Amino acid sequence: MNGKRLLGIVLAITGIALLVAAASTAAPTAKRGGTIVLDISTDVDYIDPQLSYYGETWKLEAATACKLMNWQDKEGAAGAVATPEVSAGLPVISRDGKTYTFTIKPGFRFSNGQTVTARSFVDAFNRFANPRMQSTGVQFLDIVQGAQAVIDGKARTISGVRAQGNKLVVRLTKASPDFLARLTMPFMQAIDTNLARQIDANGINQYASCGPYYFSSRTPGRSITLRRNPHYKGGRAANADTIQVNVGNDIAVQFQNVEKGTSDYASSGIPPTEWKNVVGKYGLNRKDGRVQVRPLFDIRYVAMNHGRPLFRNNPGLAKAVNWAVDRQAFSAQGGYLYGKRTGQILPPGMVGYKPQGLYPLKVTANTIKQAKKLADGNLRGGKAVLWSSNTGIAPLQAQLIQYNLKQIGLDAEVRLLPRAQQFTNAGNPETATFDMTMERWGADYADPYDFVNILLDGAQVKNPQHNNYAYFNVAKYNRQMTSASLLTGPRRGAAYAALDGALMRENPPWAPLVNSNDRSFMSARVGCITINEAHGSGPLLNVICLK
Amino acid sequence: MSNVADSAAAPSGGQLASFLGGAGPSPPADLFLEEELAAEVEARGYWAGVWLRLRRDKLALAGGVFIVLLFVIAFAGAPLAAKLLGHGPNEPFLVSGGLDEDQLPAGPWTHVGKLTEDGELEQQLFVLGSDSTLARDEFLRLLYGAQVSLEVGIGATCLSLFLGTLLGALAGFFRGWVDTTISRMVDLTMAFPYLLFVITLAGTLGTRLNHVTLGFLGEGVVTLVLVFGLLGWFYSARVMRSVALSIREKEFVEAARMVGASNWRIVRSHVFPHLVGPLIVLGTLNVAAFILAEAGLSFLGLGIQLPTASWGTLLADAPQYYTSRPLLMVWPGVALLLTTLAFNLLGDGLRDAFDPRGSR
Repeated sequence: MNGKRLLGIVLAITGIALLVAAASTAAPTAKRGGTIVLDISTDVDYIDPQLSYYGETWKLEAATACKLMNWQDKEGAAGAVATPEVSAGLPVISRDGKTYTFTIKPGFRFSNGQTVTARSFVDAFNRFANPRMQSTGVQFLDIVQGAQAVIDGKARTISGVRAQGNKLVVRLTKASPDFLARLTMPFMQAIDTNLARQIDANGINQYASCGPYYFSSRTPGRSITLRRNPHYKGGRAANADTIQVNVGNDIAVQFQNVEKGTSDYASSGIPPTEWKNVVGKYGLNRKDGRVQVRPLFDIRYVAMNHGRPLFRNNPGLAKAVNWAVDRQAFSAQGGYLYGKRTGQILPPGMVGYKPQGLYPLKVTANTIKQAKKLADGNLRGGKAVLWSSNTGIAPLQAQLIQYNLKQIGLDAEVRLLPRAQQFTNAGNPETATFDMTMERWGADYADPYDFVNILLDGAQVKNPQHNNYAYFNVAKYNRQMTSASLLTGPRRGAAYAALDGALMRENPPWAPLVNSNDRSFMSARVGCITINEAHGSGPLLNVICLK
Repeated sequence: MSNVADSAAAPSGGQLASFLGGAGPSPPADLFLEEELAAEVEARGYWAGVWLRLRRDKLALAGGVFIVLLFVIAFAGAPLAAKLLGHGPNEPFLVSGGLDEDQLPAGPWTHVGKLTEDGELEQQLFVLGSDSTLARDEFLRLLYGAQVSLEVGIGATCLSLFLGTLLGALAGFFRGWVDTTISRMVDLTMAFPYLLFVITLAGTLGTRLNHVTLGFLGEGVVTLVLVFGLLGWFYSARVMRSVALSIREKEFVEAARMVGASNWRIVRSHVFPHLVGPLIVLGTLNVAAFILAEAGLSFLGLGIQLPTASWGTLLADAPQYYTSRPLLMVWPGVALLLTTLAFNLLGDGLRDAFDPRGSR
């Protein structure tokens, strides 16, 4: 090899190396590997797919589950459309809209190597409905033929869900335009045969899953570990090798951990007073920036218990409460960019949202006067029991509501409860001994049914566990809710908008307060940040990567 | 001669006080040598001797003065300050000035606006600023918090001392099966998981008990007084038992028994009066301990009911602002520190003052 030829080869190699380096500088790609560390302050309820109903768990399950329909790992409108994941294309829907036939896409496998089949979904439906599981989400099966018989313990399998080869056939009791959106919930994810056999109301802490990750271990109250599914070929990102969740750190500690870089994401948030500082320090919503804020399909409200004497057939007082609550001050407790004040049920961006403008978003001398006028003669003894969570800013917010109620002559006793106890007792007719309870609802899926029907349909109030914390059960509105749920397209939106207005104007079940934002604070070492609110709050954990 | 003169001018505690009080060791014989001088010596009782010794303990006196001032400030000063400032301790000032432009609690000496019925903003002063993002007056909450702390501390002390003294004195005086029974009760109470009891009580009976205010107490005070009193009597019972055990062997008790005094009369007239000294000392120390315990429980959310202010609830809210408003942790912290220190110093001083053999 002569010198010129050697020089040529060296120059060529150098050139290629420089080009590669330049290319990598110009367009950085997601870096795979490493461990992403998350902090959460209180433990999740379960990681069992048919039981878990906490936002924090669903955030994790967005990385572990594979579903018939799913939200894409994209931001904005592109991510807000339910698209087929394990289903090979959209299902074939019968003329009457009651039968859905899905074809299962080949190639999906669980982390233990088992293949995902139509049977994996049949098992998930049956396990979900099994009364021995005592799942709180079974209300979402109300439209599936034969599901109620299983829930009631009268049948062992759901007659309306059948596997036929690689086809899954689901029969509904009525046409339901939101059925495909319901399938995006983790309850209906595919489960392997081992999990299908394990019926345990306490939940399973380790199981194989078919998404980009799987739960490799969980120590309740301490930690959860997710590892990359070695058999996953579904096309979604799986950047970090491991996602480590540390449980139990207070939000102030989480904040310090993320600042120091010993943790990557303060999943429970940071102290409210720090948000303004971190936005000032790191900027807001920069690409892969450390502080990301997005509006959520979410509402914080005070539910007024219409099943108890104080608010039963007492719309005057319910309206007075809506005039009295100081939404601005309530929001101020959450710190900078906490959310948007509201006086209606549906959140902005939701199908059917139309600004109603019925109640004041800021307190003035006149609003207090109006509130007093409405309360006058409707106080029924003037005593109320107000439930609130005992953590974070909730006690402060409860004291504020207590003060607002006092201004209209309602003497509210605040009872602080652990969050899980609060909503479990509030949703059980036998333990719901409150007049008002401070609640938060985040959309299970982006459809008004999940706000209006799930939270206010009176058919639920006798169930041993439900989400109608207002115990609102008015035949006229129940009928309107059912009618609205059967509509599609613009008519669906218009019907829900009308319901939102009518409920809040005529007989308010709640005092809606704030549509809160999803505020994420991350360490300097993470990149590849994608936030899709349809999946839940915070960055998508399968997409996030180390820089 | 010089002994007597010195003693009269500045009694050294032990000998003279014991002599004058009629209890303790016999006085030296030379005191009776000169009648004229003896006539000049003012006869002082037991309590005068205690006061004399206490007066010499400047730290204890400072503690006592602080406690008296605290009572005045808490029970007279707080309502007066609320009247002068024009607002109450639970009133949020979110409309104007209660929070600064960063939505943080306003700092000390801030003028805030109160929305009147006419829609006008009336200027009022926050001496120590806002307590939290609820923008209530930290100064007033601190003063009203002192009320709650003192109510809990003194109420629980009275109850625990009453139970402890009664049971301890009975155990020590009667001995036998009475002593055995009471001593096992003490063991049982000492082994009782008190935090668990408080949590259980808070979730069950507490919700009803919290409403019992007797017209002047804060909500939750009665619950805490009962919890601390019912679970905190064992220490005083043990002390009182040991004191009673030694007293029952004294000659004056024997003498009383010889002249036919009943047990009850002996306990009432000869045993209980000797327990007063240790009782007062224990009392001051217990008040400090119970005030701290109240703060601890309120910090955990188990104590005083919202929105009633207590030093514990103020401390519980403060850590949220530890980087931006660290003074919010300082005010209740200092109040708690000074109060417990004052009670402890007074308790130590009283212990020394009640001990006629003590020389300081």
